[in-house]
Amino acid sequence: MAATPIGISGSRTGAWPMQEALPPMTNSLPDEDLMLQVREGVGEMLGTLFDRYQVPLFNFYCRLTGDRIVSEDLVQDVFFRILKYRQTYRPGTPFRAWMYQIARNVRQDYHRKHPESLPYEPEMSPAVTSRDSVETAQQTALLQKALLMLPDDKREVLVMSRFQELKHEEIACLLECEVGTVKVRIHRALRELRSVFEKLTSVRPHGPQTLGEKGSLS
Amino acid sequence: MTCDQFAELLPAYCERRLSTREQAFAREHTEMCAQCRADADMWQKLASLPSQQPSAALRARFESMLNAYEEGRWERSSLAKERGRWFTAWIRSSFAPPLASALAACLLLAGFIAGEHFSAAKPNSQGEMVTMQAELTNLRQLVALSLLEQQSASQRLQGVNYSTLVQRPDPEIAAALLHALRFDNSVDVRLAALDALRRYKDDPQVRSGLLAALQDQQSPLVQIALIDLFVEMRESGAKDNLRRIEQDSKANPTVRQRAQWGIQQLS
Repeated sequence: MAATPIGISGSRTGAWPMQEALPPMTNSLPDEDLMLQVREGVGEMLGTLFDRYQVPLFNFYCRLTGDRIVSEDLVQDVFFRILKYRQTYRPGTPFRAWMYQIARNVRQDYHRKHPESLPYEPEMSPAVTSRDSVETAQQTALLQKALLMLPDDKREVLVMSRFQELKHEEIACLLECEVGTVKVRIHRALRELRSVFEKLTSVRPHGPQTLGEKGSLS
Repeated sequence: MTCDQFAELLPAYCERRLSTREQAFAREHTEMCAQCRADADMWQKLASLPSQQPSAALRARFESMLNAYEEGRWERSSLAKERGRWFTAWIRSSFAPPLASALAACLLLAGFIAGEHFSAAKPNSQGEMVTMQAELTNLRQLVALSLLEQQSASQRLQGVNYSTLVQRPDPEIAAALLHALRFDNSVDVRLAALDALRRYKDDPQVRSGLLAALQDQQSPLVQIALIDLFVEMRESGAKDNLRRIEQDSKANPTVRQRAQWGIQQLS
């Protein structure tokens, strides 16, 4: 009952743009300049930052939690904290890294308050778009499921590097480890995802098996 | 190229960010090594996960938060008297929350009496009245919101009760109450928040917030109260959620029965 299946509630909103939405360039100032203004008390500049990052952050949380409603709450919380702790933003530091640090804290706090939401039930999360062919849709659903079955830290590092366009250096900063370690962790996470995904596809009699001709599913 | 070397370069290889030479070496490696080829396939395959769009409500909630912030600033810089600032600092400080609530109660009472007195004695001073009323509303809103943020459940409960004193429906209060309903640790606070939200039930945002609250509610008491409220509101949009509860074998049996009853009532 706790989770809102991404696919189901998503289809209610109708729109399914396939591209990662680009920020509308109402204001072409760099993030850091905007944040400095927010820091000085010009709250409306946060609106531009919100326009730039609400979709990436929402997708970040969707991929980590599989729950749209929770994800919206968490995005809201990120911007609330940006406003509340605006004084702690240090001029000259990259805004995105600071924002993702807040985003990770928000999620950790959420899990602390709602421990029951952690062991996710992947049965409830088919992310299928109606426009896709059945086969691709099934693949996507299984991939989504596999991603949600990964241990939390592996899923996070994979999502950060694959979808959030964070550089290895930035991830290393966020995770407080070496760049080399980040690379290893991404690779391990990818391997595990592959093995989970292969298991999922092999238990389904009609499951598509397209991992390359040698991706055998014995 | 070894598998380890390839693993390091994999994202860059898939995104064609390597130098021509490295790109060629990496490609050569994938042709020989099935494992690494499968890894690269997997990385590419992740691109098929669709990007989702948040609902319009997210933007609306953000705007209302920003408005509250702007109003707060405006109030501090232009309108608030010394009392307001001192009061805010006092209320917000964690040193004396019990005193703060007592003080809040006194100030509220004083505000009421002053308000009554003014309206009785000087019916002509319209402008002054409006200002005072606005201040009083702001004050109540402030008290309610501050108390809702407190650590102790009983103070948050007081916050919920204060919120009912704000005569004009206030979106920030409604949002705070919805938040309490969904995320407060105490069942008492959640129930009280639900009760206080009754007066906002015509607000579409509150209605959708209530629907969302039903999804992640764990306490049977609150679930039942929510179901009853949906029936009272004749909210037919709740039927899907109720059906999900009714069919959820892990849900509390009483709640499932109530959900079934709710569906009948709404059908």
